[in-house]
Amino acid sequence: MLKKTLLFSALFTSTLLFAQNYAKLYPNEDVLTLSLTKHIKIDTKKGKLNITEEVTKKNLFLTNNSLSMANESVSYNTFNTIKSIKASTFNPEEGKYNYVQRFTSKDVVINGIFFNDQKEKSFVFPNVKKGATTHLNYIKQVNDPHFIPAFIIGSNTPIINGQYSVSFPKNVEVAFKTFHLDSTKTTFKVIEDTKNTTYVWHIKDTPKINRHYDFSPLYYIPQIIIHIKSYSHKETVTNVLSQPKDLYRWYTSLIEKNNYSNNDLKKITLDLIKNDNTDREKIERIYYFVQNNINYIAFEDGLNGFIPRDAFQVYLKKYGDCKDMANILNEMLHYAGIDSRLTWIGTRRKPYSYYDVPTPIADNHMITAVNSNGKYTFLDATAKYLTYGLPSPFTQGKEALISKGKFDFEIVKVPEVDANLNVTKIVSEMEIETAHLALKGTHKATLSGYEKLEYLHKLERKDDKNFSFLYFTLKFGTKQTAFNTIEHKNLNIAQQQLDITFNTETKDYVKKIGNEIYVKPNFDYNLKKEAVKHESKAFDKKIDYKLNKIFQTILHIPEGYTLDALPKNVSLENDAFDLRINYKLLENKAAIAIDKTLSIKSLRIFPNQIEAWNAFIKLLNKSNKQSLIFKKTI
Amino acid sequence: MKPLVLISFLFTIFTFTASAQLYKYHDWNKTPAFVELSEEESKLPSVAIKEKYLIQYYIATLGNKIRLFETKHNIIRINTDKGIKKHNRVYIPTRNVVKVIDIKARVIQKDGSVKYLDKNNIKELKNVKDYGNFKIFAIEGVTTASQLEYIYTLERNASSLGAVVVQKDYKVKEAEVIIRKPPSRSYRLKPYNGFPDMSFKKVDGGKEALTATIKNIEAMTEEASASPQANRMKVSYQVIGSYVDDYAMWSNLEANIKNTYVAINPSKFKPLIKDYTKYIENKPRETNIQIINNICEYVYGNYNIKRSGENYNLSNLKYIIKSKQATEQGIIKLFSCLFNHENLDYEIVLTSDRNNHKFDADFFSNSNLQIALFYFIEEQKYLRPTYFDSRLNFAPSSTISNNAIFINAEGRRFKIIDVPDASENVVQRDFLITLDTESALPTVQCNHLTTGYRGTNSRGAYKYLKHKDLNEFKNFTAANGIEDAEFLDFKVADEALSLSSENIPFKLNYTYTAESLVEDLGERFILNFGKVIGTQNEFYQEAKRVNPIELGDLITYQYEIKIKIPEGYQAKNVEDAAIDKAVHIEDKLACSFVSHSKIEDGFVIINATEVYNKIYMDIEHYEAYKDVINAAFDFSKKSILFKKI
Repeated sequence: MLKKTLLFSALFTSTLLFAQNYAKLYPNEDVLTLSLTKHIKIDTKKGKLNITEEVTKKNLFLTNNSLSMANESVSYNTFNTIKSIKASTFNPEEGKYNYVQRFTSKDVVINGIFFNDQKEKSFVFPNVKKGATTHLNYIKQVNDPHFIPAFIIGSNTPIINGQYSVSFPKNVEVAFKTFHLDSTKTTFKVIEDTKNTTYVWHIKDTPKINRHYDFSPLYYIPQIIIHIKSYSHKETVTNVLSQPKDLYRWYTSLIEKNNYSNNDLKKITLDLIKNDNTDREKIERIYYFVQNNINYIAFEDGLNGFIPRDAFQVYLKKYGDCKDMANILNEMLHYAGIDSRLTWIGTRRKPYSYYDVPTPIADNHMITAVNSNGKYTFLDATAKYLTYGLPSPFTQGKEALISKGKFDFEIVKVPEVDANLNVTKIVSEMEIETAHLALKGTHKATLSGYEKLEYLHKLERKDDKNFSFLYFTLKFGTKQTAFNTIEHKNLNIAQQQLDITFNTETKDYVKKIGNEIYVKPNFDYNLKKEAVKHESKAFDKKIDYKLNKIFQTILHIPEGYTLDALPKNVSLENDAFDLRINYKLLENKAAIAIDKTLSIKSLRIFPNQIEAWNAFIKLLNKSNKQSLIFKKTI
Repeated sequence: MKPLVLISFLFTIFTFTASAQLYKYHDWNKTPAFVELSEEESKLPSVAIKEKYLIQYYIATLGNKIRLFETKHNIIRINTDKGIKKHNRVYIPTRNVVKVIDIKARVIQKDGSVKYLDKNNIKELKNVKDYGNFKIFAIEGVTTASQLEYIYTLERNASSLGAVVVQKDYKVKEAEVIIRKPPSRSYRLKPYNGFPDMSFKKVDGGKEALTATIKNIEAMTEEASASPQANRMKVSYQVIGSYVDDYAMWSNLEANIKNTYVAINPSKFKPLIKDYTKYIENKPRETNIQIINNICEYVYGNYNIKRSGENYNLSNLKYIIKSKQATEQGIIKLFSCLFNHENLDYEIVLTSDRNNHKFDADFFSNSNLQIALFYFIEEQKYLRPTYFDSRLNFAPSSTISNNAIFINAEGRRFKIIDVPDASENVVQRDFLITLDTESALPTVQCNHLTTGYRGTNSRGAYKYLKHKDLNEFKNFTAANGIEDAEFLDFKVADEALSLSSENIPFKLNYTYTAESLVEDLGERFILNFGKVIGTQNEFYQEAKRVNPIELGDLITYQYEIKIKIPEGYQAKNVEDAAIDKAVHIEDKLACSFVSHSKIEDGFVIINATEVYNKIYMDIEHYEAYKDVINAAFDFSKKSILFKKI
């Protein structure tokens, strides 16, 4: 008994010291992951693959401030099911393990996805307090070799010791691709024995995930992506995912049973395009028809998440997810005799190339590509209101895996859309009403490309009682600005350009001090809050799309006043962004012409450009505040 | 709304009368009609043609078990894409559902064609967060200018209490509520916000039932300084026993709370008391406030709250003490036990979030019982036990001015929860601004104090962010709206959460520079001094007001802005800082924004006070109230001109 007490006492003391040491090393942390091991075991039996992933995690609670982190869950889905799970808490004061008795299965609702097959086992570590360690171990069965879990090493606790490994027999060929390991303390070794090869990565001191990324964390955090290239059995070699062609072949195997020709949909298609003469007219007609009539509802339901539903059924149901919409568009284009192809793509949330990672992790979206003499036009039916000819903004610059038949495909980069195609131009004529110190204006806004797309999305969601819609959407005017007689022209999606005319009146906008009046003629507030601050400066700034904003304003000098001071012209040019403001007194001395253009010409502002970007924003905001001064003449 | 599971075993119904299952007589029309809308209705994103609620308490002829069936039947016209997105996905919560009897849906086009829901496409979600299970489906065939219709019938666990909210965020042309009960059962109804009286009439199946039909219910509008959710038209009902007795229900609640919480004997939980006693060994214990806050620190520092619906052992105090985890109900037991151990004089308070429902002492309902608090009689302060970081404090702002039931060993009482005075909830900021005319760079120094809710919230935010992201804390407390603020100094004092109990101010002292406050016009500078008070709300673009005014709390903002006039310059436009807007109701000041300015000893000194003394104001005061809100916004845009002499 004494022995046991001494042992407990020694254990308790050493655990306490050990916790205190970590508390000194990590004074701002409440919880540390002392160790995390993930091991993927690949085996073969009678020519079939058997894959499991075993995860063991040990957390140390340094304080009592985050006891809610005792609430834990392990996710799973159709492709990765949980075979076993156990969890416990070791509380040094008690000197024993308290085991979790109850694990609850839950469906996980993912924002923006109507139905998915993601589930979790949730549980609570018992008796957690400062100094306690929690212990989790689970084994997942990987039910499909195309979905080997990636080691995405991102956690909301620092990981002191991480070990990630994969073992496989000699008849299995495995490849891996690592990302961002160079920023970590990583050692890699290969262990060979008579039966198996094991790749092991040890990573020391992985910091917790940074909360200041603008792009998806996948662009920055350490990752090891493993895929099975092939396996052999009795002289037969089965390719799994060795290169993009394997991925493509697997994708087409999933969809080849689909898409039987449907006479009803064919008739509908032919009827739709009966008055169209050119391919371009037919494509546009069908593209806008799908955009207008099929509503996007996201489903991610196991393998069904990779197989488009029957096109005619989608037509009847009037809804579908991205692959359903891509497929119905593709089918209808085929009926119209257009060379169109189903296309897999990873949106900008995914940083991967198919060449590096020829696995389903590389993509998350499906679109349709139309081939005209070897040149592709990318059509995304989910991007409602997107004008024909432009790819959806979130696919710009990404690799598209384009189907060219059962075995043939092509990987093509989706172009980045030039700023000149995404333009908001507002032409204004403004007058100062000196009696009420008001600024009145008549305006015509012209929007094209993604600027038009964004506007129409917001217009669709607009509340009838939202009188500030133009203020917020065009970023134009002030909160006191009344917007009147608003008229939209060319609201039809097919029109390349949207026109909006409106009048404004902004009371108390003009300052009158003595015999002078001050007025700020730059009426827009674009990019006002876009400076990159503090810790975020270390990371790239994400730009959704390149754009031009043009403001051409004539400001009439009020009667009885003369111009006293004109702000200096502004000019800043850069590879990624420009700003230009010119002020000019018109020859008749009755008005000032202000020409302002700001451009963003890159989808990404790199960390070494952040200072320049901030200077650009600062100059823009400062310029927007510049006043014209008019002096009373009498 | 997540129910508070304090009184789950109340009001089980037993009876011996029988009637037919009403839902079996209700169906959609075999030949659906495509209803014409008025021109105005056609412009709305969607309009409910009809929403029918069929609630039936049922007893089989040869049985004695009461069953509850609920049918919902909606016919909704879709006019726009926004309307499609709002209605084409249906989520049916099935918590407390014994059986899903039927779900069906169809879409009718103007040409009369109909698309029926394929029932194979109905999915099930299990244990979704705190909300239980759901049946979900996407309605098939919805387009603009189509009419969707769905009916579902659920058999629920019999509950004697319920409510139907008929006002939605879209227009409802006709709502019909039918409540059928066995003749032996008695009932009470309580209409709210214009819901009409219900009366007996014959319904489908030839049976008598309570019914009400309401035409043209306008969409409820989301508005600031209001509680639109609580203002929706609805009816609450009680169907129970041979005689419905509100008094008995409150008594039952009282007995239950006493037995479950108030009567906990701490001597039966020695490990807890031992652990707690050890914890407080070196803690101050001179006052009840200190004792209560010690208990708070002990509980939140040693126990984890599991908020999901699983109720297993985590409400059992012995298990809780052993496992150091508890449900919300369990954590209240834990507090009760420790308060009893310390012989503290407290009451358990049950009330509603006034933004969702106004507590109604005259009508017992679950909506009344959403929030549990402890009230300490001597200290006249509250504790919200299920919120981490709570300390003895004012009642949560969502409960103030609301009625509540207070229960202790001696009985129960109804009492309005006090509203802290505007002088107890203060933001005081004293600024000193200097301008370097060489660099056109202003420096802002500020002593910043907050008390009441603002002090409590700031302390909580600081505790959370001081290690995670102090810059974020600085930006939203000190430099809100000033994008280019560069802090030279930032000090925090009196950060302990327990200091809120005695309303000791949370103190900040900081200095920053911000080029954006100044416009350099050569020999003139325009200084936007008003911006330093932070981003202000405004009501410049409001549509016609629907809801009366209801504020989150009463509050005072006091600002002194002292600006040093740069040498060789004169200050112009100083008088422009003066604003005087106020609302008086029955000769008392309801709210105001008053500012004035002067030049003194080389400084421009601007003083402003914004105060809100009244939680509720009738809609007739809205325009004047709006002027006060907008005055604060206008002040934030005020500038002063410094001109070279």
